[in-house]
This record gives sequence, C-alpha cells and structure tokens, in this order.
Amino acid sequence: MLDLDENCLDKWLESYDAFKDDFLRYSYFISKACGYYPHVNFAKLKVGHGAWCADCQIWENKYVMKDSNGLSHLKIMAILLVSLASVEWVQDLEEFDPEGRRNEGEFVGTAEEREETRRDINAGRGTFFAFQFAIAIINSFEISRDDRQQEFVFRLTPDLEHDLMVYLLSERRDAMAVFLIFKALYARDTKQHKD
Amino acid sequence: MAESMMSESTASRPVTRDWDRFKLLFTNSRPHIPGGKLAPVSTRTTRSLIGERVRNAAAQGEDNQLQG
Repeated sequence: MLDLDENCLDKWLESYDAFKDDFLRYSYFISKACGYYPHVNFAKLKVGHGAWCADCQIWENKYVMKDSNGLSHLKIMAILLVSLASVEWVQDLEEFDPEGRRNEGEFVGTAEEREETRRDINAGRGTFFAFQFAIAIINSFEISRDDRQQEFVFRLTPDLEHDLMVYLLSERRDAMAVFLIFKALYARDTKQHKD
Repeated sequence: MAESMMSESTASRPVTRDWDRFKLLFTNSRPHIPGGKLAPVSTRTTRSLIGERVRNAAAQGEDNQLQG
C-alpha cells in the first residue's frame, strides 16, 4: 500500500503534503477495514506536523551526538507519535458504509481482532491511528535492516499496547519516554563488522 | 562491611567526574537498509500481528509436542 524507501522520513519532515498523503492513506485503510471513517481536521494535522518537525530539530541540536547521520527512525517516530497525540486531528468518527456495499481495506485477522481494533479506534481515535502508523513504519525499517544479529521479532503485547495508549492519551506523554519504550521494544544486538 | 571498606580506602587523589559520557544519546543513527528499499508497510493492525505471532507460537508448541 505504501511504497517507501529509506528516505521517507526526511521526505515527510520536509513536506507536509508528502506526509499527509502517506499518513492518511494508511489511516483511512486501517479505519475502513474496521468499518469506520475518520473525519480529519486538516488544520490540526498540519499543526501536529509542524510540532513534529520543530521537535526533531530540537532533538538533533540538543540530544544527539554531533557525528550522527540524522535522528534514528525510532526517535523520529516517537516524536511524531507524541506530536499527533497532542492534537485532536480526528474530529469525528462514523461508521463506514454500514450497509456493506463498498469493499475497501479488507481487515486481515480474526473477527475478534477486528472487533477489538474497532474498540481501540473508537477510544484512541487519532492517537490510535498514529500509533499504528508509527509501529508499521518502524517494523518496515526493522524488517529491512541488515545490521542486527538476531532476526526481527515483533514483541509488542496487547497489555503493553494498552498501557502505551493510556500514557499517550494522558497529558504526561513525553517523546523521550516513548523513544526509550520503542528502543527497548526493538532492541537487538548490533552485527559485528568483519575486517 | 561497607563502612570498613570505606575506612580501608587508600584513595588519595580525587577523580574528576566525566559529565560528558551520559550527556547525549548515542548516535543511534539510521539503520543500514540494503538497496535503500523498505519492506512493504504492513496493513495489519497490531492486534492482528500479535494474534498471528501467538497462533504461530502455539502451533509450533504443538508440533514440538508431537515430535517429542
């Protein structure tokens, strides 16, 4: 659905339109597959994108060693998640085609998983879509990278996801904490270089 | 015990603290992606991915039991 390369993060940071197109395509797909249609507040989404770009700049100048070749995908996605959780960019949610005439974004999984995801969407709204997007992008990077010793295993549990959503929906949310959670969730040993 | 260790210390030169070592995050720069192309972005939700992993692990457990 999204055809991405390793430069996608820079592209999204440079252009709101590029980010909006990919992010919303993903969010609509997930939402419609679960039978919901989100009404987007584009002004707020743009504010969230602006905050994300500004925070990435601050992190790059303040927190990361100078020889870094840019913020990692984990940091960028953690900052995005907190930025989008801080604005109500999903204005309303409605049932998508309740009569089932349109077949868009078919849900892959069991009926129970779909029902649970519907409940998550309804409760988490824009923050839940941002969470799904951040995880999907990080997973794509982790599957593709070849600088780790162990094979990639997605280790998130429903319990951890629930606690993370509670945290993200609270006013205490903080990008550094989310980054460290992501770092722990995706930790693998670095491959040793052979000389 | 700890007190006796303190009294037995022969340190005579104070050690200057390294304030820089834990000041910044590790570089943790971008991952190495062969060819620069990312794997297709999954459209499965987290619940679906977790469910699949749990079912696969359960099936693997049953296989191991049958073989054992």
